[in-house]
Amino acid sequence: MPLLSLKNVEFAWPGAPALLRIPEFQIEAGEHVFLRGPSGSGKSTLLGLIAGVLTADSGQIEFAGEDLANASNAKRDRIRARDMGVIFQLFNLLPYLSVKANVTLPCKLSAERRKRVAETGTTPDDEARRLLDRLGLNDDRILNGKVTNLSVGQQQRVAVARALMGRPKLIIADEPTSALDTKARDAFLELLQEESATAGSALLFVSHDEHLGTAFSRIEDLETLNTIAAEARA
Amino acid sequence: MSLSALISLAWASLWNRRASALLTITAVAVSVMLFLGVDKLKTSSEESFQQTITGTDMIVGARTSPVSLVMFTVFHIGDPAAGMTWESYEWLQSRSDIEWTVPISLGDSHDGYRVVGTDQSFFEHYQFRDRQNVSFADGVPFDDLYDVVVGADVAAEKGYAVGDEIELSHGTGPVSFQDHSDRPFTITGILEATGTPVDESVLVSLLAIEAIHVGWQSGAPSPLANMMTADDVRQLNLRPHIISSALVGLNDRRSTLNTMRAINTYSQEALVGAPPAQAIAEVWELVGVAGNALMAVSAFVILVGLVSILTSILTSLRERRREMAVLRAIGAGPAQIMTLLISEAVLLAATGAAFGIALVYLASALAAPIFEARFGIALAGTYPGMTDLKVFLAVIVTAGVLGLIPAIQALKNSLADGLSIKL
Repeated sequence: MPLLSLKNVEFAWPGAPALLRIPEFQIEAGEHVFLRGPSGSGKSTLLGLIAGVLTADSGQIEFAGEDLANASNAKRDRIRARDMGVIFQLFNLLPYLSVKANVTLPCKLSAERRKRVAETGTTPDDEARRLLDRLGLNDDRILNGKVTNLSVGQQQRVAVARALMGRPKLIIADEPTSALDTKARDAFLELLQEESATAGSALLFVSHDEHLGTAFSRIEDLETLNTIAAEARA
Repeated sequence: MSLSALISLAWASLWNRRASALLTITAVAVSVMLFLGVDKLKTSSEESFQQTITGTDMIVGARTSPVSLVMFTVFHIGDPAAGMTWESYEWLQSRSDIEWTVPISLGDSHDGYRVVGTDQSFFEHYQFRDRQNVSFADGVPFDDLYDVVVGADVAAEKGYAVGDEIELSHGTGPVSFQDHSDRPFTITGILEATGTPVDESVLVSLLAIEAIHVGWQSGAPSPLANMMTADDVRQLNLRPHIISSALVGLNDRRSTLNTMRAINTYSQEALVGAPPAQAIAEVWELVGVAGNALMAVSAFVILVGLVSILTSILTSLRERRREMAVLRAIGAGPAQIMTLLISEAVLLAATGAAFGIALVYLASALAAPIFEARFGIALAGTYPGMTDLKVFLAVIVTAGVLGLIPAIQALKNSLADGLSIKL
């Protein structure tokens, strides 16, 4: 059974024409997928549907054996807290929390996530330290310091650490590298894939930048998946 | 996410915006301080007003309304329409149900201050606040015909000391053209401040009142009055004829109604007896309106303070839109986003209110001795009480309700934003 499965999903923003119609899209557990699409093609909207922040107008969305499309809002929030890690393009971190507190935040929101950390015989704080160490941020001053003192590249790595905290089943990355320079971008991409693999998390990486796709074994094009876009092109 | 985790998140967020948070807290603190301060002053002045006279079971005078009887006897406001004869006073003294009496004779003034004719029993039986007797800051009670005791305010404002000689005038105007300048009175005592009209009184014996009026029986000085010296007056066989009213203490309070009936139906003269507390409470209902108006105004000031919380959170929402999106992405639900924002409003209000209450007690601790000495008002409640708790809770609940406004706004934003972050 796939980790994530979309069938005949349709979505339109209120008062706007239909934006997405996806007959089928699946991600297997632990699979790394590169989803390509120009800006404005509905990438973020699709991610919102998958994360359960938006509700599809019709169709089925199943995630980890649960029916997301018909679940209550509260249940979808709980599933997201438990099993998804989200990385944005920028501003992933809460400016008023320390780096460490930002990374351990998912454990505060989800008891299951906290439990999974405990099952590996460690604490959220130690796990945060370990993840940041793996991501090249092993300085105690960084760990306990302010988020705003970090460079953009460092902030994005902290965001990866937070997404990976408690080994969620799916990491959703929405243009996480677009604010980075080429060198930092490649290193970031490598780290993200490596760590997702270590955590056993599936990775859905979304970008308009086709070059990044070379690092992925599976590449999907939103404009192909989305029949509305395909029809418009044809 | 547990409520405690959300509250600690709200704290961290407020701490991050501490400069503006501090301003908001200050606004709330000052408004709460103002409200409680006004309340405290109102309660204290009401208490102090109602305790202008204690221990006196009844005031008796010529027939008039109880309120006006108490007003002129205790507060020296207005004048008795008619006097009570000395014979009626002696009748009161002779009654077995009456333990003590104090005569009060008004109608003269010294430089705008009321001259109160009475006798030694005044110092023994007139009580105020928690059954306190008047005490002397300096000197002793009057004894001689030309002795006078002055209240604390009179002494302070005129700079009088024991041994000074003063004039008393007929009538109650601040300036009298008819000073009895040939009959000098000597100050034998100065009273401690009481916070009652006694502070603004000049106390003399009943015979002194008679002495002032020798030769004035027609209402204007007769040639006789001008010819007599102070010593000549001494030689006259003076005795009191008319007094204004009497303070009465009963042997047994339970007999109040019977005694009142006996006084009200006294056949020789139309008299009225009234317990002072009831009349004073009636007067306060009129006077207290100003206090209530002040309370209403300061309640609105609290509302303004709370609205400033609303303003500060609403203006912060725009820049915090990303923060909300991040929280949603990590798994926070709309309810948690709302709880977070309401917690912030409540935390600001609670901190402000707590500071406000602390400031009121600090201020009243500092001001209490001054109020006591200057106005004779004992500030109510040295320790936080039910009123403070009620205000504290009311402020928090109102802030929580007002907090719904930014919370709903944030909810709308986050639903519109979905999982995308507006840059």
